[in-house]
Amino acid sequence: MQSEAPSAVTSRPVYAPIIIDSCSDNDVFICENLMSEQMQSLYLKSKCPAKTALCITSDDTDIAVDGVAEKPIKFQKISDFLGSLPSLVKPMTLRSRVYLEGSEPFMWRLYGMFLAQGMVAEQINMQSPVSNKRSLFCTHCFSVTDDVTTTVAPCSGCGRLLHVSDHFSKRHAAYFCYQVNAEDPNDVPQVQELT
Amino acid sequence: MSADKIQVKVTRIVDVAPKIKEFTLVGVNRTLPEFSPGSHVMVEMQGQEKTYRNAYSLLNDALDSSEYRIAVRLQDESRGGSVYMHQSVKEGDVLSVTPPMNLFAPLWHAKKHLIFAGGVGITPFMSYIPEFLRQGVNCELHYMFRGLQTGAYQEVLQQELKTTLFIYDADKEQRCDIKEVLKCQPLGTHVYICGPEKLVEGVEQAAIELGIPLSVIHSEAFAAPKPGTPFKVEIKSTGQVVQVGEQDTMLEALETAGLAIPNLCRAGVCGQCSCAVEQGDLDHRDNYLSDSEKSLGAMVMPCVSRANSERIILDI
Repeated sequence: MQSEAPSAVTSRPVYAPIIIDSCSDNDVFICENLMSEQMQSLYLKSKCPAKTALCITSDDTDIAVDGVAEKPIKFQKISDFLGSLPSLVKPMTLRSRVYLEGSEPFMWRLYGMFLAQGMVAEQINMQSPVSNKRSLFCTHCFSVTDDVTTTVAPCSGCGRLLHVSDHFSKRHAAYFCYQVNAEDPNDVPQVQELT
Repeated sequence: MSADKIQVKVTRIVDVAPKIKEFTLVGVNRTLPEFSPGSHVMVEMQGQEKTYRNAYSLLNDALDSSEYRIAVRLQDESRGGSVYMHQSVKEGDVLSVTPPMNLFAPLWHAKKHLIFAGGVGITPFMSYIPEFLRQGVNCELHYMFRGLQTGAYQEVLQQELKTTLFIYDADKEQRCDIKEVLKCQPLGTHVYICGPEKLVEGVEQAAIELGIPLSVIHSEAFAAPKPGTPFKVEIKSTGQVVQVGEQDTMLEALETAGLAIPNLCRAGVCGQCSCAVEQGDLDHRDNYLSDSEKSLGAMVMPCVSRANSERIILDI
């Protein structure tokens, strides 16, 4: 059985090089874990009167890393970030911009959060993802499986062996996946690394 | 008209500004279809020499469709429709209208609605505002006009919007600083414009200069199709040649020649009347085709667009 049959639908996001928008009145730079040199360079290029740099860590990360952080970059645990998001966006306007860096699921989850706050897509800029990790959306049980780097991969919800398509859902920040061996569960196709 | 026509009786005509008359229409032996905020109807007027068809926004609160109210500005360069409405239509007359269509609905998920209205361009927003007030959503209106000609409905707007209504009467040297208004609008604001082309372009240009995404800017150009140099249209399938006069639109000329072209807005917005072009230099005046489609020259919106060449061939 061939698992690599090309998907008829490809909607993989394309990431263009980021250019700092000189018209912005409020720039927010958000990175997953540490900020790359490239992102730091963008931050320095921004001449915006109000700018913020945040590194978001998982809740179980030791926030002591704050001590070594280059100012004015602030470290924040994800739960604290979610709590402070309304106050972060409150001074933002139609002219403001957000710049994101991290894995694809991280950036697109934040993208959804900023859209919910009233931003539009043109205000949100993303770097190329820093890893090939994908989140999978299982079309059978609707579970999302994080940190997947291969196709095929098991669903964390129903255990089905999933083919990872290139059909990306901005709403779910995940790729649609379907059972690869629905007709014969004993047919286990070759696992391939995702790009 | 493509949609089924509705016979309506004119029950009331009132002057709401020096050059604007308001017409109240009720169904003849039928109830009128319901409509949503931002809708318009196409009014058909049987003139002596030709049939006029003009689009007018519905003014009344969309919760009450027992009657339709429209406002007509006497255009300085009228192709005949607004003159007909002002001079020939009397209370008690029967007119034909299309069922309501909506090509300018507000974005209901917006956190704030910022409106720029110019002159008679206030009309589509008259049906927005009661619904915004019911929903308790933030709404701000900047209303620009020449008080000696237009400026209708100021009192009712003042009652509805109070401190979020800003009025600029150019005949009193009052001007709106559009850039200043746009500068600090919060996230989630959507901007609506209805008025002269100059106003639409002014708001869009200010947005570009401020770095505001154009996806939050929505406009309805209400200007009637402008006249132009006469030209001929050849129909590829039959060889029939149709003359388009200076004051006619291509669509009107095709209809007069017996060709049924599907259409809705007759204002270059909806794309319904799109026709394939075999040959000819086109003067695109619509807001439907993209710039690249326009430069390709394979399609034309005959409701507003014209020809630069003496003859074009339509592949219909």
